[in-house]
Amino acid sequence: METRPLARSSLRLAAVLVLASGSLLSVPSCVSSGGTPAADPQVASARDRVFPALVNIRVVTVSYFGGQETKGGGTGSGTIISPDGYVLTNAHVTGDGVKYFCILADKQEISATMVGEDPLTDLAVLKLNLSELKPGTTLAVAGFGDSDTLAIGDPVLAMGSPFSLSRSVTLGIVSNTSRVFTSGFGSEELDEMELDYGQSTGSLTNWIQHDALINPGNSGGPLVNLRGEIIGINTRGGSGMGFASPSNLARSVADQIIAKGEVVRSTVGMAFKAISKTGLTRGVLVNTVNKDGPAARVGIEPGDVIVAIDGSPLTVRFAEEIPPLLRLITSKPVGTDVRFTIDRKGSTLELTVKTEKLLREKGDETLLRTWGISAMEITEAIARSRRLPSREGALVTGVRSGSPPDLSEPKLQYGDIIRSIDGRPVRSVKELSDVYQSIMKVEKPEDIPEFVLIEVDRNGKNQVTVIKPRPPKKEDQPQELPKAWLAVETQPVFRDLARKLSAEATPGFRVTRVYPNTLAAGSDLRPGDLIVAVGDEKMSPRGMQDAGQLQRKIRSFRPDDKVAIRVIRGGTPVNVDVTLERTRITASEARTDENKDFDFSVREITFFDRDEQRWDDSIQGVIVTNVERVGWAGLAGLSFGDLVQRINDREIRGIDDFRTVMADLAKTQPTRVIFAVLRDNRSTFLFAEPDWKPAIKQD
Amino acid sequence: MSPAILVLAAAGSLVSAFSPAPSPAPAVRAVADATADAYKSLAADRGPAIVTIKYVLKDGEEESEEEVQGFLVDQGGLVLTSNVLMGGVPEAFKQMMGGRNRSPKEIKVLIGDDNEGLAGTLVARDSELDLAWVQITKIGDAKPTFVNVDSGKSATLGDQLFTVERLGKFNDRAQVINESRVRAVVSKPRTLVLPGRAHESSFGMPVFGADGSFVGVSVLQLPSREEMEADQGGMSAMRAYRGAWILPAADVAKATALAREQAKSGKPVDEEPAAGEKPAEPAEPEAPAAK
Repeated sequence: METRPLARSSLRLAAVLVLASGSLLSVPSCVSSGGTPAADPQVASARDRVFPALVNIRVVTVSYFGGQETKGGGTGSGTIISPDGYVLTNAHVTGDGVKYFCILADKQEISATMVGEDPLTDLAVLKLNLSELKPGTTLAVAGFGDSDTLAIGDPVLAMGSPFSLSRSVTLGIVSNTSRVFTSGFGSEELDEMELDYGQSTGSLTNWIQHDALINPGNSGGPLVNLRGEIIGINTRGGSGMGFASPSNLARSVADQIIAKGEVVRSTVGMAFKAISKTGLTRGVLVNTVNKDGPAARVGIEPGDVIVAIDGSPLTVRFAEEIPPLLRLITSKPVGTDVRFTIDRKGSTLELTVKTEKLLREKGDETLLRTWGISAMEITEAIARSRRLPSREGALVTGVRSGSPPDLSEPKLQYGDIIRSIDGRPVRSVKELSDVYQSIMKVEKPEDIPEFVLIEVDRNGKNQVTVIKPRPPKKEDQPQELPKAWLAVETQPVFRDLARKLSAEATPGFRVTRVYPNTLAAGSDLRPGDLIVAVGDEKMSPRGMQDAGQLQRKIRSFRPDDKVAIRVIRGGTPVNVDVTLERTRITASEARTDENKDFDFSVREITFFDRDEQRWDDSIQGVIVTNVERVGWAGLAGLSFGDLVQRINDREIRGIDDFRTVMADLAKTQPTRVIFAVLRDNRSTFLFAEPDWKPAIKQD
Repeated sequence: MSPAILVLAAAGSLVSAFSPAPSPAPAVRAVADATADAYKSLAADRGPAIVTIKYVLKDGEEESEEEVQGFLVDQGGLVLTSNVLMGGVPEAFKQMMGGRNRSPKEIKVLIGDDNEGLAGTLVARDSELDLAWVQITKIGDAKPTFVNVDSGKSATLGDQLFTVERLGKFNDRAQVINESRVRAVVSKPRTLVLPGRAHESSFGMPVFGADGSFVGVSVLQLPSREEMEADQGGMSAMRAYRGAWILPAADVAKATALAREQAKSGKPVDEEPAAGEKPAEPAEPEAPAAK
């Protein structure tokens, strides 16, 4: 799992690092010697109650960047929290996920589906596909403890899969029970952290800080008390500090996700600031009021001091007290009337705000693959931050270099708001996807219109452009013009070397190799022969500047010409007649194909490959020339130089077979594709688990 | 043009640079007019054959829009240009460094100041000579001006050389005349003409003599694979090579004939040995023994 930015200030979060990791770092090994005392009975008991319910989560991800799709993978930890297979973990573990796999305590790996994510608390719930369990398997389930009873100094166990290694337990104590992250040393302002671009997280959480060692890979794993109860979900860590989301918050979030697939929260459309530096003695300062939000509509203003909510006095002196206030408001049912008692410049006001549903900050994304455009739903937060007049349209988040909109005039660019396509309105990212599919999903490529008109808003200006949406035809690159070739390798022999090789001291070109299965091989030319003339022209290299003399002379003939070659063999002049042949295709001229579904490229086997690898004609296949690390083929382990011989048991004899098989795969869309390859002349099987392009990806 | 007239021409321009311009002497004016006439004549007669080739070049995941120049070699829409300008790699790099031609796509040939272009296909390359041929897919009824590469002449030391090139889209693709003289004619590693510095970067352009005759194409020439290998990497060989050379008209004509043949047949280079010839395993080496 890639490291995600969690805060806007790197300094503030120097000690905080996201725990999920796709990379395996070096970890010192720990070898115990005999005679070690048995584990503390309480620790052992707690371990045994939760450890069997611990899972290692593997996630296959798809994200969009620069108008392109990026596939990836990551790992994290989770806990089975119910007998019907719900697994609680972090949202940053499952983020961008399209496939999920859980390795259970008994090493069974089974797939899971996404139930829901709650970015605001960085929590997510997966559901195991129980039908994949071995018969007779009983799921172990861990229970929650009450995180409100936790005290500083309490011993805790952190469980998970650090660095993607198999499960582990570490022991520590609780360092703080209500940690928040502020925006600087001594600051009382709650830090605004981002789980992903445009999605804030952590503002509702008072973290449990502890010193049980956790590392990347522990994310989503349980923090356990000595009674063997989950009292937190490890989410962040670094510099010896771990931070866990409290179990009471996590359990509430998990229950709502399981019940409704999401956590429904209320908002009043304002942000708060603790009063410790304001000179105030009571209340909480209204720091921001969202324009047109519920609070703004009833007249609440920035600078107001809220001294009571629904009649209950309220004072927020320090940043740690902000999350409970936010939880109080967000936990109210949507549409609740909340009465705020406000102190405004000495006057007391009573204003009632009807709560609204708190909407996601980051919107759905889609990729218009052939057009090379990635676009995002315009959420309220995006509209506000980009000062857009409405949420209508689709926000362009990337345009692939060289794609139709990149080549159009004017070009489409990041930040454009797509309003319509060919006159059809685009009010949302879903409508964009629908319009795109209606244009591109046709029987024949020629049915795709030659031009498509796109209307966009760019910094308040309405612009139009046309793109050419048809995908380019696959064309083999033109071959080199045929040249005559003498199928030998030679070494120029200059004067000094010539003196040592023969009494005549004749310079020339010494044959170092005659390629098998060529016309030269059928002639009398032999390795060791010194070529001294071709036809009437002497071959007499004077130095390295003449090293190309022989083959340049040969190329001056036509293929199929017969030439008389004079050689010196064992000190005796010999005439050899050779029929020249056409140049053989080199790797650089071989036919190629690029497959975008699996993100790799191949080329046909050439004469020189067979010669170098000692492959006879029974060896068939295509040679891998490029693999995108984050594509499905790359994730399966396909490598540069692999010879792909079969794909899902279909033989690949060359580029044409490859194109046919890959086109068929795109139609049948199997969940697993097996590549049988020859690597270093050893057979290897590689397993790809493609995701066949969701039209819209929801975050 | 005789050396005496050349000196006069040079002196005339110096005078105009450093003192109030007197009326040019009759001989100088005659030379200047003749050169101006040659420029105008080249621009009018040869200029229309110069085309702009637009394409998208794919290099890994990155794609970029490129714009280069070439020239029509017949009325059927065959365009000749430099191989390296079309994403090709020089011959020596193909095997030594695993260099691979990058594939141009969405090729458009713009004749004159046309901005739309006609679709084209790259039909052949010659990495050794640094030539590439693009065929306009549908030339229609147009009878475009072309350069007849089959009726070229040889250039000799001191001959005047001209190219007609085009500026980019921001300058109306206006014609530009470059002028230089033959500075050398070499026979190794092949027969090549070394033009003056005005033509150092005219890759892919036809080069004309003072009478407008075709003398060759401006190309990139690097050491061959064998030469670079013998030179332990070829750095000293590389240093010996200069900017653009002129590939003589005869070589251009021969290669273009082959390219036409290949474009018509649509067949790639034959991988198989010629019919009737049975390939065989090589004989054992005499000495030293193979290991």
